[in-house]
Amino acid sequence: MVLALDPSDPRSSRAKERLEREGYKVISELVLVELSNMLSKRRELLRELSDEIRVDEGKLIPAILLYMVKRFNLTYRSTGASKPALPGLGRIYKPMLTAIELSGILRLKTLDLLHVAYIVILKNRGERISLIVTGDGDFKKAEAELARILKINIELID
Amino acid sequence: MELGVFKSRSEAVRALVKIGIEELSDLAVIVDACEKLFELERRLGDIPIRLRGGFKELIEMRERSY
Repeated sequence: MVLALDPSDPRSSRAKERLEREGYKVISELVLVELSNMLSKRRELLRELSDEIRVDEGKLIPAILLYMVKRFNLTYRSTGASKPALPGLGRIYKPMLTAIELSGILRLKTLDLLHVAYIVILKNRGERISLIVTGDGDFKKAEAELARILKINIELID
Repeated sequence: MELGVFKSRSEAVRALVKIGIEELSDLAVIVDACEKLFELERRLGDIPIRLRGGFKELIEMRERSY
């Protein structure tokens, strides 16, 4: 989504077209957190939009997230995360535990690993997820393991 | 329902009972703002949110998380 909203990147229109394509497109809370984080740094944009549509800045980011989900016909799925135990340490948020478990298999940066952890949890809950669509080339480094172990393929927008 | 936030009236009612009256006003404001963003897109002919340099920034942010 960030790539689709970034006019300075030559892949922006391809990312937008990809998002607009029909299909079942699932996002997790981590996608929303990252997008919120990017939006929160654009103070001028938020001020302008807030003035334009006459909404309090505090409600604007949730409104933009809702707009983006509806605009691209995305499906938000919660992990319904419980708090299982991390052996010997205690309770831990399930996506973090899954990321810890995956860290031995996949050599990815922390946030990339968390994205995969959310996907694994959603898959285990029955979501039909088989493809990660991204502009982040680092996912390619783990492509073989993702396909072999988790049955997830990578589509790189480049 | 018009925006597809809820699939049916009964689903909307269940959700509203669950979140309570206090958060209902927040939800109404957010849904209304979302509708206005769609109106703004129709006026401008494009998505009204631009994150110039955003993707590079996102990747840098992920790099720092390593």
